[in-house]
Amino acid sequence: MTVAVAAAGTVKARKVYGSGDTEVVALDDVDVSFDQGQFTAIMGPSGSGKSTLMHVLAGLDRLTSGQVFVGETNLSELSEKDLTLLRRTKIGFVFQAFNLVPTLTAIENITLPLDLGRSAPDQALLDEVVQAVGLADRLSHKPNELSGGQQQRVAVARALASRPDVVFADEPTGNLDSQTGAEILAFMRRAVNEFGQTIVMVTHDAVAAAYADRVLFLADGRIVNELHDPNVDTILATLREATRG
Amino acid sequence: MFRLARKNLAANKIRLGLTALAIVLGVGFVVSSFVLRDGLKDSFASLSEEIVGTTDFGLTPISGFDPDTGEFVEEPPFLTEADLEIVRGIDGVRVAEGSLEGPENGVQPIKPDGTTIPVNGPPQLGFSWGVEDQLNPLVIVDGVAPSAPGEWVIDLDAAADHGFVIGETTTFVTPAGRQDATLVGTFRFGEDNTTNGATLMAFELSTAREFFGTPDGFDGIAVGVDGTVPIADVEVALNDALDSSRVLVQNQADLLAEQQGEFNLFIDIFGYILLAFALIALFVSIFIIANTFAIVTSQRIRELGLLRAIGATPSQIRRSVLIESTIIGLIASAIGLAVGVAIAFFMRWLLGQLGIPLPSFGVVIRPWTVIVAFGVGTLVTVLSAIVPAFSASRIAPITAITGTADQTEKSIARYVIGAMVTGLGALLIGVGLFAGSTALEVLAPLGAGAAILFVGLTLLSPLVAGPLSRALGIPLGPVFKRPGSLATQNAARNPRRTATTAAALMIGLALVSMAMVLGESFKAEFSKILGSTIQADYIVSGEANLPLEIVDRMEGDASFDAVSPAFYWSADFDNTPVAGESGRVGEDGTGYGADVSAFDYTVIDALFDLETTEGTLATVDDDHTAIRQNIADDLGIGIGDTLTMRLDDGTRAPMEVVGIFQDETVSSGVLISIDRFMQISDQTTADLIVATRSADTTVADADTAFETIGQDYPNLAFDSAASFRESFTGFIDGVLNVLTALLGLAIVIALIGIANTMALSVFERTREIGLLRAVGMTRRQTRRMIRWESAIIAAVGAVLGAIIGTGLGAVALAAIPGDIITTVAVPWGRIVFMVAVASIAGLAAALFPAFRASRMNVLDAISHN
Repeated sequence: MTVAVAAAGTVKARKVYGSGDTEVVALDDVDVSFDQGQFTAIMGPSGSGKSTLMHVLAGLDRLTSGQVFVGETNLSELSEKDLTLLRRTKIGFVFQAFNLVPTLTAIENITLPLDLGRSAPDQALLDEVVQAVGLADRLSHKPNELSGGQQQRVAVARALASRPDVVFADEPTGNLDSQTGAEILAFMRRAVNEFGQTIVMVTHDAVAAAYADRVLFLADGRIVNELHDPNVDTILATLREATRG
Repeated sequence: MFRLARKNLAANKIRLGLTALAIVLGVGFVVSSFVLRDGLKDSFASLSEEIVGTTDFGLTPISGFDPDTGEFVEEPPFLTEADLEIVRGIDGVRVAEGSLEGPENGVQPIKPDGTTIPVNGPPQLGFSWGVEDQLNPLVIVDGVAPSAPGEWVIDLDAAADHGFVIGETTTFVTPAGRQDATLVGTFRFGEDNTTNGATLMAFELSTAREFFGTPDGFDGIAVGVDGTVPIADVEVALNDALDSSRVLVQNQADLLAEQQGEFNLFIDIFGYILLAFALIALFVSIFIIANTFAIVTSQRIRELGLLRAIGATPSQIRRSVLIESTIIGLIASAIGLAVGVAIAFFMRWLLGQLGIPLPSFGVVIRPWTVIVAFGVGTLVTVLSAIVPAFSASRIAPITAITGTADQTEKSIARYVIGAMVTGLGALLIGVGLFAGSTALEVLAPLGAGAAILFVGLTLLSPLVAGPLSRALGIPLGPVFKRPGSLATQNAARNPRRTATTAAALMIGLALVSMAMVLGESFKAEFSKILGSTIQADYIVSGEANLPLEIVDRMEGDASFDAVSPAFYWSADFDNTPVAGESGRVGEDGTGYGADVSAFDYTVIDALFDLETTEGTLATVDDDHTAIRQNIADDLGIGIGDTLTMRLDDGTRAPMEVVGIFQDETVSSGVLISIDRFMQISDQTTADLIVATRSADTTVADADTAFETIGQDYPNLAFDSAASFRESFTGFIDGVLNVLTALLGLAIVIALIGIANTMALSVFERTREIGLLRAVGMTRRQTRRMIRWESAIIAAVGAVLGAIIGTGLGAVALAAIPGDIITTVAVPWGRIVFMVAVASIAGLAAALFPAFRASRMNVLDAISHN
C-alpha cells in the first residue's frame, strides 16, 4: 500500500440552506479526508448531503462555515476566478449525464480543460488514456454519434487527461445499463490502480460502490459509517443498518 | 420548486420583453411617421389660415397660352396698375393691393461677414411688403415696416441666424446687379415664424420692383371687402370686370385650399419618405418577432409535449400560441403607439439639430393612427407566430418525456419555396426596373419585389449560414483558442437560427450597401466626366443668372486662356424624324423637338471633349450646327445635311451640319451659336461658365485671379475642377449619410434581434455553459464565447447583406439609362468598414446575454432542465 496522503478533505464543513423555519442543514460539521490514489464512494439516501459534500469539495459550491482543501489549497479562500482555474487544473468531473459539449469532437472534449488553459496536453498520458478508454477510432466523432457508454468513457477520459488531484464522479453510471456501467466502473478502477488517480464517486448503487476502496455513508449531513475494501453484501448490510438506525 | 418556477418566470419575462421590443420599435416608427405628418398638417393648416387671414379675394395671372396670339405666356408680372384700378372701383371692395414676388434665391443679401446664404439650403424668398394690415400675414416684431424706397425687413429668425441688424445697410446681389437697402425691422410669419429655415425678405414696393427687375405691374392682387355688398356679388363683379383668360379670381376658401394643398404636398412627400423607412424597420422587425417565436416554441417543447400528452389537440396548441401572440401584439402595439409619439418629437428635435426646423405641433393622434398601430402591430405579431404555432401543434406527446423534438425535419421544401420566392422577387424587381415608365410603375414592383426577394433569400440563407459562420470564425481560433472556436461552432451549429437572426441585419446592410454602390457610381461617373469630358480648370455655376460680364472679365485676364459660357435650352426643328428613339415632337405637333446648347466654338475643344466622331465643332456658327449621333440617327441626317430650327418670330434658321459628336453629359443634342440661342430664348445670362488656365501663369496665381473675380459674385459658386468634384461628391456623401442614418433604424432593430436570439440561446444552453464552467471555463472566457458568437452571426448577416446590396446596386445601375450613368463603382472600403462596424455592433449586442451566461450559478446550470 502507498503512504496515505490527503488529496482532498474538509474540516468542520457546514452547509446551511435557507434560514429560520425553512433552514436545512445539508452538511453538519463534516470532517473527512480522501487519500491520494484511493477510490472512495459516498452513499446515502436522498437529502443526506452526499451531493452537497461533493459539490463543495469540487469547488462548485461554497460552505457556510468550515474549510475545504484540495491538496494544500484552502478553497474557501479562493476567488471565483481562482476557483475556476482550480477546477480546470486540479479537479476532474464526471456527471451523470450531459457531460460533453455537443459541438466538440470526442478528443476536443477530452482536451477541453487543457485547451481552456491554453496548456498543451501531455501527449503520452493522453495516448495512454485514450488507449485505456478504447476510443482511439472514435476520437473525431461528435457526442451525438456516440453511445451513452462511449460518451461516459469520453467524460472519464477528460477527467483523467489533465491528471487532476481528484476526480469527482456524480452517479457516473446512473444513466447506463448494468453492462456498460460495469465497463465504466472497471475503467475507473484501473485509473486508480494504474495511474494512482484519486477518485471520489457519489452513488446510490451498491454494485457501483463495491468497486471503491472505501465507502462513506452519509445521513442528515453527517458521516454515519464507513467501510474499507467493501463488497456488495457488506455495503447492503451497512445500508440496512443505517436505515434501521 | 418555487425557485425554479420563479426563475422560469423571470426568463419568460425577458423573452416576452425582447419579443415585444421588436414590435414596439416597428410600430413606433410607423406611428411616428403618422403623428409627425398629422401634427405638421394641423400646424400648417392653422398657418394657412393665418396667411390667408382676412384676405377675401386673391387675384393671380393665368400663365399658359394666350388665346389671342397662341403664344406661351409665362413672364410675370402680368397684372397691371389698370387691373388694380378696376378692382378698386368695384362696389363692396374696401381695399386692394398689388404684390410682387421675386424668383427663389433671385435676390440674395450679403451677410455682414461678407458671404451670402448658401443656395443649396432652404430658399431665400423676396417679396413686396403689403401696406394694408388686413391683407398682410406678416407681423412686424422689431423696428418698423418698410415704407420708403431702399427699405427692407427680414424674418426674425433669419435676422438672428445671419447677423442682420436693424439700421444697417445691406448689399443685395440681384438680377439687376448690386443694390443696397437699409434694414428697418424684423417680422414674424405665423405664431412661431414658421419659415422652415427659409429666409423671408420683404421690400418696399418700388424697391422690390427695382431689385426683381420688373419695372411695373404685379403678380398678385389681394382684395378686402367692406361688407356693404354680398360677398358673392363682389366675386361675380370681379370675374365680370376682369379678363378671365388672363386673371384667376379666388375667394377665401379657394385661397385656403390652395395654400394648404401646397403645404400638404410637401408634408405628404416628407411623410411618405418617413413611412417608407418605418416600413423597412417594421419589415425587419417581422423577421425578429418570427425568429423569437420560433426559438421560444422550440424551447417550450417539453411543456407543449406535456399538454399534448394530457390530451390537448393540435388545434388547441395552435390556438394557444396564436392567442398568446395576439395578446403580446396588442400590448406591444399600445406601447409602440406611445413610443411612436415620443419618436415623432425626437425626430422633430433631431431635424431641428440638422438644420431642418419643423414648426411646433401638438400630439395629434388620429383614429386612423391608432387603428394602424394596433392593426399592424397585432397582425405582424400573429403572422410571425403562425409558422411556429403550426410546428408546435405537430409536437409528439412523447417529447414531454424525452424533451427533444426531431430537429432534422425535411428542409428541401423550405429551399424549393425559398428559391421560388427569390425568383418571384427578382422578377418583380426586373419588371419595375426595366418595364416601368412612371415613378409608381417603377417603385411599386421594386418595393414589393425587394421585400419578396428578402423573404426568399432569408429562406435560402441557412444553406450558406453554416459554412459562412465557420469561415468568418476562422481567425477566432488562433486568437481566442477554445472559447473562440466554441463561439464559431455555436454560430454554425444551428444554421437556420443563425440565418434567420442574421436576416434582419442582412436586409439593413443590403439597403445601405445598395445606396453606397449607387452613390459611389454616381461619384465615379461624375469624376470620369470631369476627368475626360471637362478639360476646363475653372467652373462658375449657380442657380442661374451668371452675368456674361464674368466671361468678359476672365477673357480680359491673362491668367485664363480659353473662356466660354454654356447655355441650355430646347428648340423645335422642321426636320421630320425617321426614327423616334430619343427625340420628341415639336410643340405645335409637327417637326422635331430637342434640347440645344450653345458655347463659344472657337475655344470649345480646349474646354470640353465632346467625342467628335465626324467633322468638327469649331466651325459651328449661325448657319452651321453640330449634332449628337442619336439625333442624327433620329433625323436620318449627317454631315452636309440641313437642320432647320424654328425661331420665336416664326422665321426659320437653316443650319448645315458640320460635326457629329457622342457626349451626353455636358452638352445637349444640338449645338447652336450663342446668337441663335438668344433668338430662341429670352435668357441673357449663362448657365455655366468654364475656363482653362493660361500656360503662362502658375496655378496659384490663376487660382488667386479666379477667386478675386469670385469675391464680386458671392451668390455664385466659383470652383476649380477639383473643388467642383468635391462639392458634388460632398452632396452625394451627404445624401448617403442621411440614408444610412434612416436605415440605421432597421440596423438597430436587427441588433436587438441578435441580442434577443443570444439571450434565448444562452438560456437554452444553460447546462452546456454550466458544464463548461465546471470543467474550468472562466467567466471572462464565457463572456468572450457568447460575444463572439454574436459577432459572427452579425458578420454573417452583414456579409450576405453587402453581397446582395452590391448586386442590387449593380442591377439598378444597369436599369438607369446610359445617358445618365454608365459607370458601376463599388466602394469596397466603405462596405468592408460597414460590415466590420456591424460585426462589432453584434459583439456589443451580446453584452447582456454574455454577462448573464457568465454569472450563472454553475450548480443550478448543470442541473437545469
